[in-house]
Amino acid sequence: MKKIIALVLALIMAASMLTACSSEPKESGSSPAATESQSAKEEKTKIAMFVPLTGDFKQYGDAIVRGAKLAIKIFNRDNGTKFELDVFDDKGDPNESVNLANKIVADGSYFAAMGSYTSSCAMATVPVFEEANMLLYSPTGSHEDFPLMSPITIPMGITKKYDCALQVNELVKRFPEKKTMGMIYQNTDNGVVVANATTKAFEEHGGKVIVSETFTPNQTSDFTPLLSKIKESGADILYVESGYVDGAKIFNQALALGMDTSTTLFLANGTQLKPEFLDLVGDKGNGIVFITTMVSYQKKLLEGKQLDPEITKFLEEYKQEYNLEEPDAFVCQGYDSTMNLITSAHKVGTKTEDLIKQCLKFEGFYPVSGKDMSYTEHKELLKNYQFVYIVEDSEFLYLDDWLAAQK
Amino acid sequence: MFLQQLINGITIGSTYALVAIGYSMVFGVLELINFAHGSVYMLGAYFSLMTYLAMGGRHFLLAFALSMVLSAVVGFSIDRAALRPLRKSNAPKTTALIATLGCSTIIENSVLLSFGTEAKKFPNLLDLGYIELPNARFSYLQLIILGTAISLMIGMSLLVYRTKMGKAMRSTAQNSEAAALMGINVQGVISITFMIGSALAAIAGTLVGMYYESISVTLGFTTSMKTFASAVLGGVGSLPGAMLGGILMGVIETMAASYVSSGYRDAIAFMVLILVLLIKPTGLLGKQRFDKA
Repeated sequence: MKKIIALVLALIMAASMLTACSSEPKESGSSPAATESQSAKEEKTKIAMFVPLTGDFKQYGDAIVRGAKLAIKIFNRDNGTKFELDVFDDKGDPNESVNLANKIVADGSYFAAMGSYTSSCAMATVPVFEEANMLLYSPTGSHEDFPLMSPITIPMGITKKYDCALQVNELVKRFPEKKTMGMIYQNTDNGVVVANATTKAFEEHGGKVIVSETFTPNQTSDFTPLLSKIKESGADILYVESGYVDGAKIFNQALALGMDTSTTLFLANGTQLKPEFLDLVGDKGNGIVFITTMVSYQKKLLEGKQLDPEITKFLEEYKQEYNLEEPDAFVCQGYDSTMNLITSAHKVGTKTEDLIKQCLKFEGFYPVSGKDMSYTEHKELLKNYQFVYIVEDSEFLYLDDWLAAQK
Repeated sequence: MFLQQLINGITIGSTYALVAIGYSMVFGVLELINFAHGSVYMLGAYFSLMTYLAMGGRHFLLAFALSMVLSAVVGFSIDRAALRPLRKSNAPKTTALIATLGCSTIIENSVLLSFGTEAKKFPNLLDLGYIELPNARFSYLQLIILGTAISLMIGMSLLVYRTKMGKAMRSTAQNSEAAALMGINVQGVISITFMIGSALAAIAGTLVGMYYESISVTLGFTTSMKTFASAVLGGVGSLPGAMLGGILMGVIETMAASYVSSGYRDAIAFMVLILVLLIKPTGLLGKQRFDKA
């Protein structure tokens, strides 16, 4: 009798699972059609964002969310709209991102998705969103393949090949005497692209990358073998492409090995442009230079500067909303990508094709994450303005201001 | 450059050895791979930093001592709450191993919730300067780390081989039932071993935190694999083996990164480990395991 009951229960379970399995794709598969019929009556107002809210990249995810939520709040208040943002935690793990992408698509109430912090996570989800014909806007994705992967992908991060070329142009212009480079980069999709693009651009300008070393991010603690090689090579530039935690460790260890910012240019990438980086390098970080398209609104940088009223308004809104002083570059990219998305949706509606076309115009709002920005015909973001910062007494300063003060 | 790389390798190897000694202590008595050890090492560093900051950035030695005590309490709790009940019910060793993995996850998540995920600046209070050589330099802190690892290895070896407590540990390792019949408080011995191992982990975590000048939740995970490999290379259960394995692991890894490829540094280090184990399965000093003495 027990066996029969167990068999019946097993059959019921199997049947219910099959029903669930068959109903899920049906739901997601029918969503574009459903979207169209719904949009005729009323536009969707919800956006799904997936970023790391736990794990190694939490700081970046938190910053992006703060920027995105602020954009939604300001836009709704000023325009009487009812856009909403639902945030999901992908832990910085591409597998988790794909699970969330499926969940977002199956939900059927979102008109666009935003995410993730890393290009790897964003790129992993592209097939899911492409099948559902849902716009995927990555607030920080900058891998050169991302915008070309699918008609539905738009990045807010400047495409690395352009970023590296611009950075090297500025480097060569500012430091013409620095001819040789020792490079340490992350062994990730993005890190490899940056290393190759930077090497190519630097060598086109007559420089030479004499040491190029890689490491596994968030797993390597000891960089002294790599730094000893670079020190031995006598490279004029130590270029570090990494997150801010690894970057701070690398620069600290370089100093401990006797490398010196007065003889070697310590050059950091924009990802390290965070106040937390300054906390970790402490007062030893003096002289580290950043050449980047990423913006910083640290108090010291704004002293004596005439700011655009729109920027001032953004900074005040941010301070009021979060009781925090300085939005970093990731807050700004979260803000700009969300603002562009909802401004476009407000103007042309939420039909994916129209929305993408409008987003690529990048108009109707005041961007805060950089200057002179536009999209190419291939959906690649261009930023034609480089900021050059130097670290002094645990603050970021504009290099020009610092040089003027030295005189 | 070779001399500098050798110094680099010995330094990183010393940090592995510091942690590997704690691994070996527990393995020697229980024949249990304690996967929570790496997490206690990370927790020890957090305890030192947080108690130091809580005291207004003063009395570091007191903070350090408190960290050792707190870590020892955590070690005791792991044994008392998760492992002793399993021993009582004669659960297989793999069950205990999984339980230590669970403890590791609980500790890491507790630290995440309590202190956040961001890396913390760790003050280097032993920044005593550098010793300059013609083609290399090293800091006094590097010497202190190496000296501490050697001292702990000697101290723990003396404890195990020259004291009554050590005799009790070795008896427990050989046959816990017979040891209990001889009047040895087996559960007490195991608890003390866990407490000593955890206090050692706190020392290691604090020194490594100072050396790298930052700590984060991933500290335990990133070190665990290497230190476990170090203990295996030296011969699990052998304290001098843990020391030797740690130093060798560090030097091999550094030399691989310097002269072969930085991308394959870990792969090469583990390849050497496998080769050594194929030739000598008990590890380099495996025969001298105190539990079989």
